Amino acid sequence: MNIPLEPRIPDDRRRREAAEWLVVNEAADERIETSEAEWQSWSADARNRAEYSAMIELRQRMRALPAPSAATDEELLYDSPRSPRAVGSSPTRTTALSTVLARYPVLTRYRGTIAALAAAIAAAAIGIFWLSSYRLAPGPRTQTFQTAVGEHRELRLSEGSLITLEGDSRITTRLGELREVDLLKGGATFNVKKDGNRPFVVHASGGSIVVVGTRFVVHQYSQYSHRVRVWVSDGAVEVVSAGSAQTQPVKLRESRLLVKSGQEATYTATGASTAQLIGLAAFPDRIPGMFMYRARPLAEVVEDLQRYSTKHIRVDPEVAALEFSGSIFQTDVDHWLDRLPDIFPTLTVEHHGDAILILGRFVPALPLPKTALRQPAGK
Amino acid sequence: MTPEHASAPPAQTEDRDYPLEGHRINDQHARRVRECFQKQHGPLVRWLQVRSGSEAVARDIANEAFMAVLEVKQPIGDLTPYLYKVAGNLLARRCATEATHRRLDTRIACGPDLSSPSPEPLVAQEQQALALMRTLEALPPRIRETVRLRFWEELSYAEIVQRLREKGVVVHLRTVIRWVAEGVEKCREAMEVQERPK
Repeated sequence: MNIPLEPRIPDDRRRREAAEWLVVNEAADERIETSEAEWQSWSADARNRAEYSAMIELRQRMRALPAPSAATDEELLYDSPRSPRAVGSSPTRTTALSTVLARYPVLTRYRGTIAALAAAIAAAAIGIFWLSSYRLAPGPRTQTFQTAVGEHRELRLSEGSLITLEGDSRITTRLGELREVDLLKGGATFNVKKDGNRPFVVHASGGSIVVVGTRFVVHQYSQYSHRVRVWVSDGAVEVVSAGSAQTQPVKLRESRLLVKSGQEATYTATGASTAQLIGLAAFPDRIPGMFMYRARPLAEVVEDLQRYSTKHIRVDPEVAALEFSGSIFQTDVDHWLDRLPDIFPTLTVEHHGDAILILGRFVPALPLPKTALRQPAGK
Repeated sequence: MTPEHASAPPAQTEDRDYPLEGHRINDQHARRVRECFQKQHGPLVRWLQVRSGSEAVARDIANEAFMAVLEVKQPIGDLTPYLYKVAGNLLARRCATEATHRRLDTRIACGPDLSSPSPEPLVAQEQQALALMRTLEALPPRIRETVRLRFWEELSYAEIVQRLREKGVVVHLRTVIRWVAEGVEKCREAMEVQERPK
């Protein structure tokens, strides 16, 4: 059986055709006449398609380069002999080098060396310029801010965003291509100026909160729950938890959590994250100087308050998960601690010098009688 | 033209409105868009592919652009330039969004303290870019100038012809296209040499 052989097309011809198709296809909006049938026939060959794909890749690479130098009027007029007619063309070609040589004939014997030297200097200059354009580009400006126990501090970033740093908290800001803040300790409220081209990113406990323009609060808990809590009171943020960022960079977008206005999100170092709708009353930044909680673990409440008390407050792990709802003034921490046994009858608060211990009371091993359950102690 | 998109024009000629996702589209307008689709879908996809570097993205945006043109309520004189304008805008918006996501993905994946990446791909990239720049600089002046005007100043071919005419070089539009193609071909040749295993 005779197998028909395909006519062999030389590589340079294929390359030329691919370049022509690229240029013509790129000008489709200019109504350059092309034949759809010709394109279909040419692109039916897999090798042609491969060459065309390589051309498109090359075109993408060229976009990242600086423009080549513009040709002078003289160069345009007296270009190569196969160029089409030029108005007022002259057989002699004058260049800067020939002008210099005409003035200093003694240099004629070094013509080749001078040309090579000039070319080398030009190439080196272009290379240095190109490399320096991104190697020596100025890096982002980094600044660290810290507050003392009980101190509140407002920071206005140069791009217009406002950060309110809570007590005993530390952040690092980096303003470059992105606006980035590392929340190293404590909590802060962010009132972000909208800038679609420079997203605002807060990094905390390995995770990130990405925002375009909004108002939100971030608290980092490092003692008990190792959670980061985010409340959004205006706009929306994207939470990227640590697990997804470090172990699944490719699937990053799939594991992002969108937190909208009126929602609270939490995430942990293992990557677990949730978002839920909460009432506006529960937003921590609703009233300045006041913490507001709804069903929050006692240990997290204490960790917040610790940033407003010079005493060391410790919570018994047995009672750390007790849930507290209510509001606490940041200037009234000691009083709240004294009243704690009234709120949770199963707790005792002990003062040992500078240390305050929140402990669970002795709970009898035997079940209480039903009458005792109906009438709790203290009532 | 793919068969699933090609459909015969409606037999009836009278105009009527019909709803599409909450809009009422004029039948005559829909017929004009269909005709435009038949002529321009292929060229538009290729036009977008050259700009985006991806055929999938090009097809996606082309469909979006046709939908956008279909839903236009005001009368449009010539659909084709409007279509390319819409597609160009959609592509620009997509590129901006993707660039932002790319920057964020890189920064977030690497964490706040960016560790230094391996230098080898960077060096190879630098070498390729330098080779490409050298090739561009070494192109004959007319070819270099037309490539520069086309790719960096983003002039149309008609504008390039006009610009050259002002400088005393009178050429046909086809010649300018040929010069640009020649410049691209030379660059591709240089890339092939660069990519060849040593």
